[in-house]
Amino acid sequence: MTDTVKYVLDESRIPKAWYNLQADLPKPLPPVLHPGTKQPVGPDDLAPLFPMELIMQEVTRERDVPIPGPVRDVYRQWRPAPLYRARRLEKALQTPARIYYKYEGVSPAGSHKPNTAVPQAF
Amino acid sequence: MVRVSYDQKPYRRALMETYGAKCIPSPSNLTNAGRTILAKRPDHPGSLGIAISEAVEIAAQNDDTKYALGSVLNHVLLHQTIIGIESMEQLEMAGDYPDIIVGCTGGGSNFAGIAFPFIGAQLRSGKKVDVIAVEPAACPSLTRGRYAYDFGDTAHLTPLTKMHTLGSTFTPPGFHAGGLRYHGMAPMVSHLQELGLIRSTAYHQTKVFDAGVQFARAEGIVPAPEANHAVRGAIDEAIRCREEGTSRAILFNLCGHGHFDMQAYIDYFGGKLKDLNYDESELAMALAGLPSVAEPA
Repeated sequence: MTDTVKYVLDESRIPKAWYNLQADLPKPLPPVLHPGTKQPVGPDDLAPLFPMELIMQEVTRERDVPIPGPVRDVYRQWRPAPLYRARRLEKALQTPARIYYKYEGVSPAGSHKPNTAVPQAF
Repeated sequence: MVRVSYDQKPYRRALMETYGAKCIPSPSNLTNAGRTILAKRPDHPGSLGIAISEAVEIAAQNDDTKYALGSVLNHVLLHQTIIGIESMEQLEMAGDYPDIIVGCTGGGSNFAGIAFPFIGAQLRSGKKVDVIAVEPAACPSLTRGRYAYDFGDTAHLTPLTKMHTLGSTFTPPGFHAGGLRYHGMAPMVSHLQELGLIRSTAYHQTKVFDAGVQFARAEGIVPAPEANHAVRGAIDEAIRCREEGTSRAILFNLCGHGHFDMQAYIDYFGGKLKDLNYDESELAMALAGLPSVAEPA
């Protein structure tokens, strides 16, 4: 166990909620302003551009935002992504540091982008 | 698709077409925003700011069309937090916890994805983490930009958000990490820097590719040019540990592989990769053009 390279989670452990940092911020974000009036925008101002569900995710202060079942099902095509311990890089650098990297290149597109593309399309 | 990427990354384009997408290089003549830019400069390389204007214009004009985006807004950052949540569980399997977290930043989404769950844990329980955002020196919104209200796009169609910005009319030079070529930073990431919860640093692209190649030769995975920024940051922190003789745990996000960007590696090996500098006078002009906003108290 001490020389493990990849830390792999089972599919069943794909998180059931995203984490919303707005819930824990010591000071809230400055408001978003309307480009014309320069007054804070409300959800209806954004409705021509975004689906309402995403607008609600944009402004919520809830800490845990549930991941819809169908999105979680698509996530299963590549998630959970592996976490690596970069043992060979550590050796090459002769560093006492413990280097870990989360590898998001395992998605179909080869990057982290589908993590948001799928829920936005949904 | 931003013109310079459309031309530099034909395989990325082909992948999207394989999934049934139609890709149009931006600036295009399909929108007012695009036509205005092309009238001034027919060979304009494009920018994310211009592409966003074109997409927003089309979404606003059509009831059956919505705008999907790759970064910056809170809900996109939210979706990416799955990266950090999983990492936290996996580090628990390893019996470890990060002292340092490194991510690359363009609009801020992959960085937020890896870092936010840990920053949240710090805010709730005081578990201290040193969080570093690494950005390209040619498009340095966090390290050189101003924290101000600005538009997310060039044609000023989007709402105004307070963020670190180089000015919405700023066109970054065409360096290889296309995903990091954006004038602004996610408001939430900017806010964290203002609160002193993260710090930021910038590197030129040759130093970034040095790190990527060193990483590939040790670990086997060839990182995307964007991810090479995070690799550089992580390697430099590991070297600092060696010099100080301290063993810290460093976590970084390898946000994508580089298989679509091998031309960038070919240029690097051919000595053709230049450390592009942005145009100081253009930056000054873009910053001078920031909208004036009476800040709500």
